[in-house]
Formats: sequence, structure tokens, C-alpha cells
Amino acid sequence: MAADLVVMIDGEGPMPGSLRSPSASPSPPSLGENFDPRPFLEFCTAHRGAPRYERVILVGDGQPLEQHGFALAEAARRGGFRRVRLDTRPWRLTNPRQVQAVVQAGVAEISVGLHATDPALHDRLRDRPGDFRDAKKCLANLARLDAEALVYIVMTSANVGQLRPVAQLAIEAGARRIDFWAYAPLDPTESEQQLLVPLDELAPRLLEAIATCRAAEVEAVIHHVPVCVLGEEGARVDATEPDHFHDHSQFWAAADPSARPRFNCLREAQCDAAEVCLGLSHAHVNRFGWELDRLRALPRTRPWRPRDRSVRRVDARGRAQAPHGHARWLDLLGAHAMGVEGVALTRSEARYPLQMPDGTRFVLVISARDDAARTFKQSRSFNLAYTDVVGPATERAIAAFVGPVLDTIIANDDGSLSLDARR
Amino acid sequence: MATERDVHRGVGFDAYPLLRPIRGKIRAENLLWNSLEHARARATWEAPLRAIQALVGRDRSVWSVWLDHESEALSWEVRVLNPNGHPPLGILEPLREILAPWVDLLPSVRDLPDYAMLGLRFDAAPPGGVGRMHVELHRRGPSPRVMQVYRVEAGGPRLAGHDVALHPKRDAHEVLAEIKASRFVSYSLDRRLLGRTLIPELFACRRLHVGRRDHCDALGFSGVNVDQLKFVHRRFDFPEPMRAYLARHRDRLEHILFDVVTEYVARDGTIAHLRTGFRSCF
Ligand code: SF4
Repeated sequence: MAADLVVMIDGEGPMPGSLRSPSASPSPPSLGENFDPRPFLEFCTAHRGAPRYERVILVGDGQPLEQHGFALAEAARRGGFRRVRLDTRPWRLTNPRQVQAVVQAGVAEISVGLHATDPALHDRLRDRPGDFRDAKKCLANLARLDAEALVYIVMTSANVGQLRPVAQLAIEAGARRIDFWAYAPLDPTESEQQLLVPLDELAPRLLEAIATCRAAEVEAVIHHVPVCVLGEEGARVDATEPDHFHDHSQFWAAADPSARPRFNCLREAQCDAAEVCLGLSHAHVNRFGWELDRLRALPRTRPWRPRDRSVRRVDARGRAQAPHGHARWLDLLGAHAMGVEGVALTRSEARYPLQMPDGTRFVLVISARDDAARTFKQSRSFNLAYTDVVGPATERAIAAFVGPVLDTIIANDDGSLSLDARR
Repeated sequence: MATERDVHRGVGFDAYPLLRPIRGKIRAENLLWNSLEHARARATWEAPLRAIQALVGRDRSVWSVWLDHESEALSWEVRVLNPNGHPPLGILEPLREILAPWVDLLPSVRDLPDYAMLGLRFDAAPPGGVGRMHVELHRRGPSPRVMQVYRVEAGGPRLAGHDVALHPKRDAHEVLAEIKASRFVSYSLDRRLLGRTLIPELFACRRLHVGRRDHCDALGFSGVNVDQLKFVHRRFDFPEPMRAYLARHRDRLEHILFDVVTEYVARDGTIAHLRTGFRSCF
């Protein structure tokens, strides 16, 4: 299960790794008419009793953030999250007193996008005049307070030549961590396609910027870049995804997996890094091809298995099948297996999408038993939790619905199935 | 409506697993009927297609809908297995009989070599005109992964191409070797071309069918989900009413895996797609 929980307060906030807010995209996600903070406040109350997430990331930049941001941050701080992060646009944090109030409300980390050393280029990439000036002011304010500045840089053809100086600028401005994101647009326009960078241009410049971070002892994290083009720095690639908090009255569409960029690599079956590496974005492949001269599969130490997202309860003639493979994971749910939409199995998790009678959807997640990790319930071999809730049901209603399913798993888990806890 | 008895098959007639519980879903053949309606060809072809379904059994034939990117015309194919023990014409003989009220199927052909599948291709007959069906045979060999395609005309079968079925990820080396051994596309000239033919949005499928035809290359992506099918409708400019129909019924078709086939050549330094089709069974 992810350690971080993203809470989209409105569609105006910057999404990690993207240049524009979701509401600026041609098909912005739907937002509720009236933002209602209560579902998250209720979630915080429940989370305090049984904490599941390390960090909450509040994302927003619109009127709902202004109205409810402080209350949400305070609730999160009291709600069992160890870290509270705010992702907003820097213009909101140019006033030192404002930043102080945010920090006092419990926000310990603030993300700031910095995409160029040259203000005009930064503002053009952000599509917002004055954004560079605001970002620098925001960083200066944070440097004076006990809050961590997390800088992220989206790497495009326009700024790839200045990655090292941008990293240097971020370090000088007090960044505690820098996230480097390869630009990965979804359904890019012609001009967005022009911003993609081929690997042979990107990798050497990114490595120079990483060396700068290393020398300054600032943590550097890389996203959406193939592990195999980064040498030893490949270990810095983070392909994990936070969970999203959802409620029908809020930014529910962000949970739609088709609204996120997709990735692939032709060498996946040959490559030992495939489980920690996403490969190339579809936008990248469409522009530059599969980059086969650049990608070097890391020799496999364990066999590759194709992912199978199917439900197999009947054979080709419609007869009930004896459990095998994924069917054994369905059988773990007993009669409740009829209610799941399938099972997605990875090395570390089994995920079962479920739908409640009122239409609320969520994903039941089974991961390896880890007594040190926080979890909703445990069976003999597994931690059991649920995530990605979309729909009107309250936390209590979901718990009541999922309870019998979890009890069945606990009763059926005889120790013969296992998951890898390494990731 | 879909039922628990439905079996979902791909081009090789292997059964696809069910992706979602069947409750509230519809059968894939609705897409076939919708495409025929769009081309005003349902009245011509529904009865012959129903007759084929009655002959071979429900979910024992595979239909495909094709869009020609030059003429923008739709065409169709229906494919059936050739069960053993029907020489000298195999399944063609009973097909000829049951289709006699509508089409003459190769009346002069008296015998055929053994074959695994038979395909009937047809397009929208002109209004008031008589529909015609063209026959193709699919024969295994020389290896089990290879299926040879023969066009059958009055003079008999003529080899028109072949398809090699491979796993996209596990067999990646062979996939690349097969795709690159092309008479129509020089991949060494521009490494980006591979991203145009081996389409990333469709790469996550169950089988790739790397094909050669006498006039182009073909690449089949077998076992793609309804969202990938929606992508294909958008990417290849299928007629708006067909796109709208698929979008409207997306949630009721998400239990099915479909097949997609692209046919292409290199032209003016890029890839020109000639025809695109999608398949399911009925
Ligand atoms: S070969 Fe592919 S999966 Fe392996 S590290 Fe490179 S991009 Fe990632």
C-alpha cells in the first residue's frame, strides 16, 4: 500500500510531474459543485484511531483551498498523518506571514515547481507570468521557517540544457529534496509533443544535475525515466504512486486511471528492473520510437511472469474451473469473489476492485503481512486494506460492507499464498 | 444482452477470459450490427450472418469490421473454424448451402486443400444490389505459430500472406525480428517508425500477430480491452456514430477482450495505415 495519500481539494493545484494544473487540460476532471470538507474530516478522525498513511498531500489552488485549507491541514495533523504536505501554486506563498500561518496549521512540507533559471522560460512552461518570481519568493519564505521545501523540475526539450543550473538554484534556495520528472503528457497536442526529450539528450544532463545534488547532499528522486539509462543513479527512480482520497462531492475524476499517462518497455520480460521501472511513456514512444538502441535490459535474476488482470471462474465451455493461478486469489474471497470485478496481481499486491450497492467503488488491497506497517486488518499472511474510494458511501458504510469480505479472507488464508514484501 | 453462457474468442478461436462479472453487460456483436447499420448494410447481411451463426453455433464464429482509410468505406469479415471430417470442401460446403438464398460461394471450386479456418469477406452492397462474399482460407504451417492466408477465387486458392502469433513481451526478440523483416518498411532508416507500427497504446495485449500481405504489412493486437478499442476508434477515425455508440456502451462492454488489426506500408518517410479492423465473436 502506498505511504502517501493525495487529497485533491480543487482542480487548480499543480499535479506532481505536470506543468499545468488539471483544470487547464482540454478535458478537465469533474469537480463537485460545492466542495464539502466533511468526508475528509471524518476520514481523519477514523485514521487517527488506525493510521494507514505516513503522509497526506493536500493539492489545490482555488477558492476551496482558501476556504478550507487550514481546517484540512489541522485535521490531517491531528488525524494520524506524520507529515502534511501542501502542493499549491507559489503565488499563494509569497507573503511570509501567510507561509507562517500555513506552517503553524501543521504543514511541514511544501512543493515548489522550478523549471528554469531563466524567468521567461519558467513562466512560459508554467503558462503563468510571474510564476518564477513567486516560486523564488516562496522558497525564500520557507528557508526562514521550519518547513521543508520540496522542489520539482519537469524536464522538457526547452529546459533540458539547464537542468544542472536549475538544481543548483534550488539547492541555493534551500531545497531539501529535488524531484526530477520526465515530461509525460497525456494525449499531447502538437506543441506539447515538441517538449518531449529523447533519452540520449536527457540522460547525460540529468546525471549532471544529480551529481550536483549529490555534492550538496540534497536528496534527488527521479520519475518517468528508464532505470537502465541512469547507471548507478537508476536506484533513485521512484515509480510508486500515492493513493488518492476520493468522494463524490470532491475531485473524484482524478482516480480515473485513464487520466494518467501510461508506460511500456519492449524489454520488460528480459529486464530485472521491470518491476521498479515504468519504461517509456506512450507519448515518448509515439514521438521517438521505442528507443531500443538506448535501453539495456538488466539481466533477470527471477523469471518474468505476464500480468493477468482477468477473472477466471469458468472455462471455455462455461464450466466452473478448479482454482489455479489468479483463481486461487479469487477463492480467497469465498462467495464474495462474485462481487469483485477481477484481481490485479503484482509481485507485492493483489488488488480487487469492488462496487457497493450504492455505486461506491473502491479497491481492496492485499499485501504481505508486515507487523510494523499500519493496516486495516491482518490475516495469517497478509495485511488487508482498501483504497481509491469513489462514490457517496461514508467511511463507516464502507467498513461495514468490507468487513465480511475481510473476515472471509482471514478465515480462508491458510498460508499457502504469499506476496513479496520488498516492494 | 450478454449471458453466463457467452464465450469470448479471439482470432485464433482461443477463448478469452471474462474481465468483469457478466451482469448488465451486452454482447460484442452489437458493435457488428451497429457498424452494418451505419453503412446501411444490415438489411443485406443480417440474415446471412444469422444463418452462419445457426450453422456453426453461438460464439463459434469471429466477425471483424474494417475501415479503409483511403475510401473511408467499411467492410466486414466473418471467420469460422473448419472442423475435421468434411473433405473435399470442408465447412465451405454447408456454408454454400445455407448461404445459397443470398450469395453464390465459389460455385466452380470443387475441392480445397485442408485448412483450419475459413473467412468470408464482404462489403456494403450497393442499394438494391446483390452482396458478394470473398473466401479466404487460413492454413497452419510451416510452424504451429504461423497461419498462412490464401485467397480463393474461381481458379483455386492463392497464397496472399501469413501471420505469426507471438507474445508481445515474452517473445519480444522474435516480435522485433518479424516486424523488421518487412518488404514495405525500412526500420533501419528511421528508428521512430517502430513506434508508429508497434503502437504503444495497444502493446499491452495478449498476442501480437505479425503479418505479411502481398501489398502491405499487418499487425494484429489480440486481447485488447474496451478502452484500447475506444482509442483505436479515435486514433483511426472510425465514423463518429460508431465512436459514439462505443462510448455510450463502454461500461457494458468492459467484460470483453477484442482484437485489433492494422495494415500499413511506409509512405513519404512515415507509416501509412491502409486499413484497420477490430474483431470479436458471435
Ligand atoms: S530495459 Fe525497460 S524495464 Fe528495463 S530498465 Fe530499461 S526501460 Fe526499464
